[in-house]
Amino acid sequence: MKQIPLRTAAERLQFCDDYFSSVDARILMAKEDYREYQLPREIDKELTDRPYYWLWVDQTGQKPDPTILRLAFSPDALERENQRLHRETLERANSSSESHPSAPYFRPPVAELVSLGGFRLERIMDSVMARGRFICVRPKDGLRGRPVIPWLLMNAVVSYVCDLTEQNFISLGLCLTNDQIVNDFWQAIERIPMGVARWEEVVGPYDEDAVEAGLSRLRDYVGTKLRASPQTWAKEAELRLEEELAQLDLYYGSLVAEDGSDSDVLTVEHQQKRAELKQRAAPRIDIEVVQVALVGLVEVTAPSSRQ
Amino acid sequence: MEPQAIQSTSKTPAIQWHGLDFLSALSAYKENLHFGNYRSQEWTLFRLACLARQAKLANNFHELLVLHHVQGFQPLPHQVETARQVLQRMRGRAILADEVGLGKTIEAGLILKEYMLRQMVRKALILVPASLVLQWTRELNQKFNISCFAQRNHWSWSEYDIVVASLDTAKRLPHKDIIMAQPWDMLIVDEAHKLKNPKTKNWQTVNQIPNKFMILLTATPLQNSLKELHTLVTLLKPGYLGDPTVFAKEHARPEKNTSDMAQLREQVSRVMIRNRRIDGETNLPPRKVRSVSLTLGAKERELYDAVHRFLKDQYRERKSQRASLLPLITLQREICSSPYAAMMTLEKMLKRSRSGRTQATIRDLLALAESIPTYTKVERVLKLIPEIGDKCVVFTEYRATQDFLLFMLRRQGISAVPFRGGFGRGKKDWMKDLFSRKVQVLVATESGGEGINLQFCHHMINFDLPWNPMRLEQRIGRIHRLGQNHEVHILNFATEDTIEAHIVHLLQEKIRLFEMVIGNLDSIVGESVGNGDFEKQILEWSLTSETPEEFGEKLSTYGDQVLCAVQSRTESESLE
Repeated sequence: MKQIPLRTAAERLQFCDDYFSSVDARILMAKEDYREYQLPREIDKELTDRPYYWLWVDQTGQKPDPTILRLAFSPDALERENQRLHRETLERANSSSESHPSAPYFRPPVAELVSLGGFRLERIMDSVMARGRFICVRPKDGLRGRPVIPWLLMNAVVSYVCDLTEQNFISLGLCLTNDQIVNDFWQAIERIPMGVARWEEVVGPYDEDAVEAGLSRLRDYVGTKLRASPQTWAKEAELRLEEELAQLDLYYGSLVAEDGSDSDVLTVEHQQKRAELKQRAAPRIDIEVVQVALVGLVEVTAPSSRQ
Repeated sequence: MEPQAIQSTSKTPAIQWHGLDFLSALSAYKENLHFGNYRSQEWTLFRLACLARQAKLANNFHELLVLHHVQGFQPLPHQVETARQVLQRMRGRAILADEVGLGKTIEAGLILKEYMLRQMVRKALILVPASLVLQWTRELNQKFNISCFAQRNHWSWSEYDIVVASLDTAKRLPHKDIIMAQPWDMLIVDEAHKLKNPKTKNWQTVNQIPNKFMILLTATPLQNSLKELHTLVTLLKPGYLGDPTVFAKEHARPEKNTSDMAQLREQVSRVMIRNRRIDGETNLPPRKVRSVSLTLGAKERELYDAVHRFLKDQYRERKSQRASLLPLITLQREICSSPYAAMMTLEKMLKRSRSGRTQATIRDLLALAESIPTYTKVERVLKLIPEIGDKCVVFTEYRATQDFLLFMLRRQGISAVPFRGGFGRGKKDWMKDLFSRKVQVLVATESGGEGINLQFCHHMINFDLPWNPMRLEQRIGRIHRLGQNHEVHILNFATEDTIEAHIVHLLQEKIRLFEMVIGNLDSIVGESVGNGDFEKQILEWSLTSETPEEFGEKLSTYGDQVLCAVQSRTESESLE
């Protein structure tokens, strides 16, 4: 199985560097496991949680200093940089304005640790996922000007849900000219240097209707494939559910038999518990479309042989 | 999802598609492309988005994602294993019945976070005792990055996704109705032994709260009868242990059938996990317990004997008038602690007393107490602390003793801070902080003992002993708990020829309480050592015995009874 991304500090650092450079944030300082980024306003709004502040800034036409994010990627770097920030702030306060009454009370800025599940990284990931939902690309550089074949890419997450969830990432490509469908399409194209291109340049004569039809073809394909594959997990979940429902019915049956006075209340409670149980344990498959792209591929590089 | 072979599967689960609102957004994107509003970095963003989504995948049933998301600590093996079992085997409905101090909170946090990461739980309700609401909120926030909120008002239930509240609030109107209307995905109840009776409001409230996953935390899943266990399991899986009346009949029989028991044990193990210290993995460093024998000064001795005589008189008098014995218990325990503490109660008794003779006696006692030049116990503390040369907790039962100790310590130039139950949360934290960073001694009273963890400290002095073993264990639990890496040294002060010496002997030598694991203690407290009764019993023995030897005899018999109870409990514990 492929290693899950972003599980190491080095990967997270690379991820942040790529993200901030592609949203035009300046890197003010780069040290081992540590970065300082200056945020453009739009990105600032996305990464910090202060809607009222922005409301006020926008309404009053303020021009606040850009926010600086101080991100540490390891606990050691966090400790080291916090000490440095403390020292520098103290020095500045001592040298510049000795007479300033509040000088000793200045609080030094602090760095924050970027960790999986932590607030900042979650925000960055949300921002990335909101910004990277579609794209229209073709290979860059030397291949410019050569005609391309339009492909529709769909990245999706399939969740097998019962009382536990398992998720798979799938990527499919559909050739708009001949309806051929390719599995693992993303893995095939991810390393090709791509550039954003105009719609006509990539898709040629096809419009949104064609894209829509293509998407529904891909959905049918996924559905057929799932129905054809063995779903042992679902059968096991069904069995467990039936057993638990039987126990539940037995229990409430015995209560009603015991004293019939409150039977209405018990029936309601019984039905509620049945519903909760089914909601929790009944197997189902959820598919979430994550990304859609139109990809123009020059004929020689088309991974059609993979089918 | 590679199909192996096309099979005619009878039933494929329902397939639901999400995120199909693409098309309108796609048109907008196309418009933008026309205007040339595209940037070359978008390909990078697209790639990163794909990476980010894959990083969030719950990609198989067996991996615990949460292990990559905890912060600032490493969960212990038994905690991880428990979380795994609850998720994979028990499917999110379980009783966590670890012994006190093995980290049930951590286990619950791991489970909650795992479900959140797998997008199966969005809204969760955590019901805990009122005094622990803030502590839970902080732990979940800091250790697991779970943004949860302490309930404040009746908006909280719907406003926040993860709410920590007290069961007592939850069962009251209007809160109860609002809670019932929320679609909770997960319900966690701490101290679930409060749910042992299905006729109580507690149980009925919890039974009615909508939930998909439910975790019950208790260190004592059954104290008296198997029926209690049945009641807890009914919350998780109604009907799992069968019809309640049939169950009661079958398991209430005195002659227990071993195969029945084996079957029950197997059934229970599928809904309950109990980690015990004894089982190894959770071993703590040893406790070194020593009693410090003290001899009272002449004046102190005189006072002690005088108070003892006074108590005997009072006991007879009050007993005949059926008056309350409580002040006597207090006085007896205070005089063991310090004359200073006893003076407070004596003064109170003086005000209340209506008999001239009693008043005169009390005045004499007070005069005697005031004439004492030095307190033996306090002197000993002042001598011991520099010898220890490390951080040390001093426990006493009484405010007055606490104040006096603090005063004396500071006068000696030893840094010390107080700690007691009356402090607000913030002040408690502050004192703990001071103690961990700057101060050498923390002087704590009993009531402040709960809810602080002082693993960084390895020395403890029991200035006086509580007469209730469970409370003593609570004290020790403050420093001798998970995270303690050093040997723990415990000193018990025992003043010769006083009740205290006998009690130290009983708890330390006879019951060997300090070596006992808490799990065993839990179980005896419920049965033989009733809370107030034990204290009353000791007072009675001490005041009705003609000689100290006779008193010692009585305590010794009592110790034997406790030991018997523990033994039979250990035998029957194989059930758990």
